[in-house]
Amino acid sequence: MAVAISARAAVRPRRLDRSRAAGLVLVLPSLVYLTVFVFIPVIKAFATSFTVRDRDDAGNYTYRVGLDNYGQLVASDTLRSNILFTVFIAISSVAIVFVIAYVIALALRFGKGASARFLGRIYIVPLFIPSVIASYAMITFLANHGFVDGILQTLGLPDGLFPKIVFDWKGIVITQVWLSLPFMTVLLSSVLLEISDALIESARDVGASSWQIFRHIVLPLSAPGALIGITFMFLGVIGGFTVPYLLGPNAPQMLGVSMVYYMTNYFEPFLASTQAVAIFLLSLVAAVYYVRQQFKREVR
Amino acid sequence: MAAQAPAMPAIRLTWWIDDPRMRRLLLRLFAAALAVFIGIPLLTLVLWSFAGEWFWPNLIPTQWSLRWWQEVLDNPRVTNAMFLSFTIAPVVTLLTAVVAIPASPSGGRCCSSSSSRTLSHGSGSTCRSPSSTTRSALSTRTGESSSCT
Repeated sequence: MAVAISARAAVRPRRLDRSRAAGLVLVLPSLVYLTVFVFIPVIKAFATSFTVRDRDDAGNYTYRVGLDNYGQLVASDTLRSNILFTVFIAISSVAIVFVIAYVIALALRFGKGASARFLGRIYIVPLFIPSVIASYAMITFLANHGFVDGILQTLGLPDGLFPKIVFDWKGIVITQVWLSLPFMTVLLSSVLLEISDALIESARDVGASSWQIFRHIVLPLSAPGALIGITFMFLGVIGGFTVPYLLGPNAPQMLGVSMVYYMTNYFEPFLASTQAVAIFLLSLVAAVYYVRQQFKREVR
Repeated sequence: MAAQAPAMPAIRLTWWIDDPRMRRLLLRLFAAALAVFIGIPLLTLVLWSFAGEWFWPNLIPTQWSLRWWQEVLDNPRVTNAMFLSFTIAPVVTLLTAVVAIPASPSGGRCCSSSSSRTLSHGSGSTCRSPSSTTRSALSTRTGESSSCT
């Protein structure tokens, strides 16, 4: 494989010098945009996270370079639990979305009849609802003395037994599931469409049960694409702000919310930047995985 | 000759997948549950917008009214905000297209024809653009994603 790659690389320059220039011109706008609005701010945030602000007895601030902010990120109970909370929310919402979306995708791919068609129409709806509206919808729906609580109490649930969902981690997870369902389902459906019918029919011909077909053919073949979807959603949830801000608890907070509070309410831009770097590092895990997966595919 | 006992069909936990009627029933239940999960929260918002009076534990508003709609539409700040939203959205879409489409691996032309292939070879960095990565994420066929290598 390595030989094939280097051979291709050797052919490349000769073939295209003119379109290389054209290509550069075409990429230039997005490159400039990314540099000005992404790369430079990111570098500035990195620098800020290594800036330490000291206050002397007279109340004057002095600034120096140091790792104190990162020390605080680990030592502070609040910040540490915020990080763990963020990871916990991301993992649990991704897991739930994955299961539900996989079932929908399976129904869309293999199911026939009215229910499958109906599923195909409704799963896409959250894609057209902004996250603010979805959050408020979930608050009226799931709040204590909200819609679901009302129905359950009409059915005989005593008052006060309805669990606290809104303004708790459950609210964030449920709303993130609601919002991410279409994306994950679209992705998984397209992955499942790539699995050929011939493969499944031949397995059935030799006597495989539906479960065996799912376990040994559909699941392994869809794994690479599915993992990419999981990566994307993980990134989305980990950096999310709207949903945890509107539906989350006061403590612990997800990093996006906590970062904004540190920046605007506590006037601690340095600690806020440090949290931004923490989000970045968490995302990096997912990003590295994604790039490796892409690379494997391109080599193959 | 030891009579080979006919193997008892093992009771599997997954028998219901192979039973078409059971499968249909479960699919129907799942579709109904999903419709409730997706639809009812939005419906509660709609109900609230037409509610004149809705005290708990009534399941639907006890009084209906268009008062809140009127209030919103009469409030110049809200109408200005609407106007602003409907201005910003198309402008952002347009600007994003202007910046991103030239940088996509096919340079705005559709699909992986031979010309788009040469173009993406010409500027290796375009292969890392978000649009190309999502596209190859959406296709597991090596033929399509390799247009970018």
